[in-house]
Formats: sequence, C-alpha cells, structure tokens
Amino acid sequence: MVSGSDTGAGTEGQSVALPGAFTQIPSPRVWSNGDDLSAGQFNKEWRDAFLWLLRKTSPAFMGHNIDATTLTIGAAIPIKVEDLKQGNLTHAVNDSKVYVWETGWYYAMVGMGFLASGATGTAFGAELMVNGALNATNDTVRVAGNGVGIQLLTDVYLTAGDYVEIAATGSWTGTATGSAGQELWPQLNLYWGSK
Amino acid sequence: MAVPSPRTWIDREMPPYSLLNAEVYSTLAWLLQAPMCKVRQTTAQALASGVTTTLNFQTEDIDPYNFHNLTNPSRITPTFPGWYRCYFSVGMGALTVGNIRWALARKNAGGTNVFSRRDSKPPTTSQNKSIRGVPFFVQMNGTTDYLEVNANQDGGSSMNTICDGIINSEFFCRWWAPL
Repeated sequence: MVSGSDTGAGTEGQSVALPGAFTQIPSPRVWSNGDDLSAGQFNKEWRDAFLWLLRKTSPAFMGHNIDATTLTIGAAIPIKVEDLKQGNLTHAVNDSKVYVWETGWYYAMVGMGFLASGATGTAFGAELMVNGALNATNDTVRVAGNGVGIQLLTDVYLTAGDYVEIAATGSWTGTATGSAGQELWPQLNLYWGSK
Repeated sequence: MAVPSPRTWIDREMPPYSLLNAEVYSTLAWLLQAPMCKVRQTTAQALASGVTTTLNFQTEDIDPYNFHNLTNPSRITPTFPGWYRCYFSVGMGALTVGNIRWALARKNAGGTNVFSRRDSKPPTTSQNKSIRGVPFFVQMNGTTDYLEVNANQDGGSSMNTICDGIINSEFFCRWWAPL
C-alpha cells in the first residue's frame, strides 16, 4: 500500500475518525454519472467492504476448552476460551451458544477429542448443532486404549439470531472425556463466508 | 505485496491512478488470490514404530511466496502475518500387526503446540490407510512461525508412507484473515 491505513490517515495527514464498527454486510453501490465521490462514500464503499472481505470486521469466532471435559452424546459443550471473537456475533465465556447477527453462509469447523480411557465403543465423533438441532456430524474409529481426534467441516446457512453449538457424538457408552491438550480439545471455528 | 490495510479517505481527496491502484487494485488482487502454499510428498518416508516422525515434502504444487523451502522440506513458514486455514493428509502403508496410526500438525515443533490430530486404523491390518484433509486454523507471525506434520504408528516395525498419486501426504495452508 502506498499510504493510508485503517488508522485514519489521509493524504493530507489529517487524522480521520473511523466511522463506527464495521459490522454490516457490504452492499455495493451502483455508481451513476455525476455522483459525488466523497470521502464518506469511498470509506463506506471501498474501505469498509475491503475490511469485511479481508475478514477484519466480518463475524468470526474461534473458541475451545482448555481442561478435561465430560462429554455426553448430543449434549452442548460449554466453550471456555475465546481465541477470536469479532464482528456481529455474541458469545459469553463458558456458554455453549454462539449467536450470529448477520445472515449468510458460515464456514464452520468443529474439533473433538476423546481420551484413551473412559467410554467404550467404536465410532467417536463431532457434531454441529443449530438452534439446538443436529446439523452435521463426522466420526471416526477409535482403537481401544488410544485417544482419538476428529474434525468436522461444513458450510451452514444461518439467519440473524440463530445460535450454533458443538457436541460429541458417535456410538459409545460410558463416560467420555475431552482432553486438556491442544491436539484433542473440543473447539469451534466459525467464519461468515457469503451472503 | 503486504497484507492490505484499507485506506481511510478524506473529503476533497482526488486520488491519482497510482493511489487507486494501490488502494483498490492491490486489495482486490489480494482478496482474489491470497497467499497460499500446497506441498506434497513424492518420496516415501519410513515411519519407525512408536516414533513421532516429521514428514518431508519434496514437491511444491503452489508456493508463490516461498512458504516452503526444499532445503528444509518439512516446514511451511508463512511470510505474511495472519490467521491461516490449513489441512494435511498422510498416506500410511499397510501393517501386519498393530492397529493405530495418527498424524498431527505442530507449530514451531512445540511439544504441546499441536493444532489438529487425527487417529485412525485401516479396515484390516494389511491395508493402506490415508488420513485425509485434517483441517485447522492457526495464527502465524509471518516471519519465524512454522508448521510441520508428524506421523506415528504402532506396528512394531518400520512402515513407509504411500505416495502413489491416490494415497498421498500433502500439506496446505492459505492466508485467511489479518491478525
């Protein structure tokens, strides 16, 4: 970039206040002859759209658990650590629900891990829930006596006000436990992707 | 090229073409073709039983910003700061004994700095097994942070990775968002 930045510097060196939080989906302007090319328009039409497309301001959430967590099939898991929370979505630490306030397609990744001991069975998996209902699952085989990690990738259409949660799934009995370690902890990544 | 930082415009600004190119064209170009790297293993590698082995990748399918270096072929070192969307796959050979195989991605070779792990086993112990497309997001500083893929197995003897064009080991990462 030649000059300028999102810190508010223009070509003449003035300090320009950034207008509000850029949390709305861009709606590109159709330009007409004689339009006034004002700074406000440039900032709204170009800068804010770019910031959104660069994922600097669009809704994004990354969270995980940092300690061993008792897992129950289909039960929402509280998310204890917020690695990234930006844009128009809400989550309270230790709550399982992430609310989105911008409608659109979201890119979602769920990570799930199971410790070696505890539950017995064959399939161990991860699950994404929307508004409390199952949306997508993925599972894998666990060898007895070994921990197992599994990831789920999906794109999901969410309407403003919807919430997403993660859960463990599979065909196992007993008490399953998620790991305190990075390689196996329950996690949710959620990015706004498209209108 | 650098991570775009969109300009805040001021009133009565009459941008020259160079500024429009810098502010508009370069940002669009970035968004349309964000830095990425995909590397693949084309030489089978021995995985000793019970030993965590760092995989080497000999072929660069795409690497326009030199994230990967063939003289240090295990690493992807992104050259721009940001969040990265990544995944890896590992082709595992057949075993006659043992049944667990796992692969994971590490940042900066840290003992606990693991970002994604997948455990698996083949339908039978004599079949090859591919651990495919294990995804993760990771924050990288654009200078010294690097990623590697590790693999392990418990067959009791050494096993080679598979590079037959169908079952492969590969490693992908793409810039996703600013820090």
